[in-house]
Amino acid sequence: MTRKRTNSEFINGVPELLLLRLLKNKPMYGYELVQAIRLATDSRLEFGEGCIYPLLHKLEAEKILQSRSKKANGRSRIVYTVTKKGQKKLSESMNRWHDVKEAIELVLQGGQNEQTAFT
Amino acid sequence: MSKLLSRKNFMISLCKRGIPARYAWRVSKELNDHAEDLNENQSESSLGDTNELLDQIESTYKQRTFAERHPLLVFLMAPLPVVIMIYILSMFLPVLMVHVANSAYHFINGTELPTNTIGLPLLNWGIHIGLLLIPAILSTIVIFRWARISGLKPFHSAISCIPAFLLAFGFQSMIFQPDNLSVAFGFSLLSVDIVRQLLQTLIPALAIFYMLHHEKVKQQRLAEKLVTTE
Repeated sequence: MTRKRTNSEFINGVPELLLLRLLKNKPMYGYELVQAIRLATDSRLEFGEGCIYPLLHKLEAEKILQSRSKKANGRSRIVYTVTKKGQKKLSESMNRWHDVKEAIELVLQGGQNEQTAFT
Repeated sequence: MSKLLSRKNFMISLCKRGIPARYAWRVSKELNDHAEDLNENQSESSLGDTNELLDQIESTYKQRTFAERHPLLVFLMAPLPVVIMIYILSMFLPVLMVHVANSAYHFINGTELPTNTIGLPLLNWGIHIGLLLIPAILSTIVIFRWARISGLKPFHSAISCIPAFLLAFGFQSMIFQPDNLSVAFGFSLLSVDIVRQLLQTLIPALAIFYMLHHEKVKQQRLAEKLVTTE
């Protein structure tokens, strides 16, 4: 029996995709990331600290991110960077995002195969 | 971080939810930095509700753990074979010890180990008590620690020790002839000596209480150390 591939994991992974994409540009600490998401999405997407920090730690445990302590504004901060594994994961996630986005747009625009699907 | 909850209390709250002190320290440090950044930048937003933060941190941390991803394995399947294996090994150990003692005595003196020496009753009692205590304590420690490391709460970790309780309850050991090397051991849930069996069941329970107490003291010490040495 073949197992159906679903996109639920991917859809739940939107914050992860954004974090990886932003961290690819430059290493950042938690507060910077929250601000960067807000700026990059024109305040349309906001993730709370209760989502961001546990997610950063999860990705670090999976070796997708790595952290180091760094002095910033006179204080010691934990700054995150994307690892090689993380870059690979980001590229895969971006490809899947484009697939999902195209699929959703097909449906929203009336869908080429809509009639076939519902007849 | 919420003004109502200091960083230390936040850490302790996380530790009480079964989050390791080192990770609790890390999260609370980052949230504390975040709160300071919000203040410095006079941001209108603030950290969310403390209980919600605690819930989110706890659930995300536990989703990462093996026990959360494979609860059936940790809860039901793994403990029983682990306990049985520890009991079997514990039963073989005295047999092996006696065999080694016999062989050593024979090698030195050229005769078999005498069966009427003063040491034999002591050896009998040692094996008898050892078989009652060691496998019960060892299997409880192994399962409970594994469950805790895997992220299970103390109550659930204690439940996963049920096979250890059952085997401690049903384990039978007796000395037939104190002057000879003769300890019999086996397993039976139906015994006439129910009081003794219930007392045996207390062995894993005491081991769990000790581990919980030790864990609490260790977490508190570590939490205080991490805050003060920062």
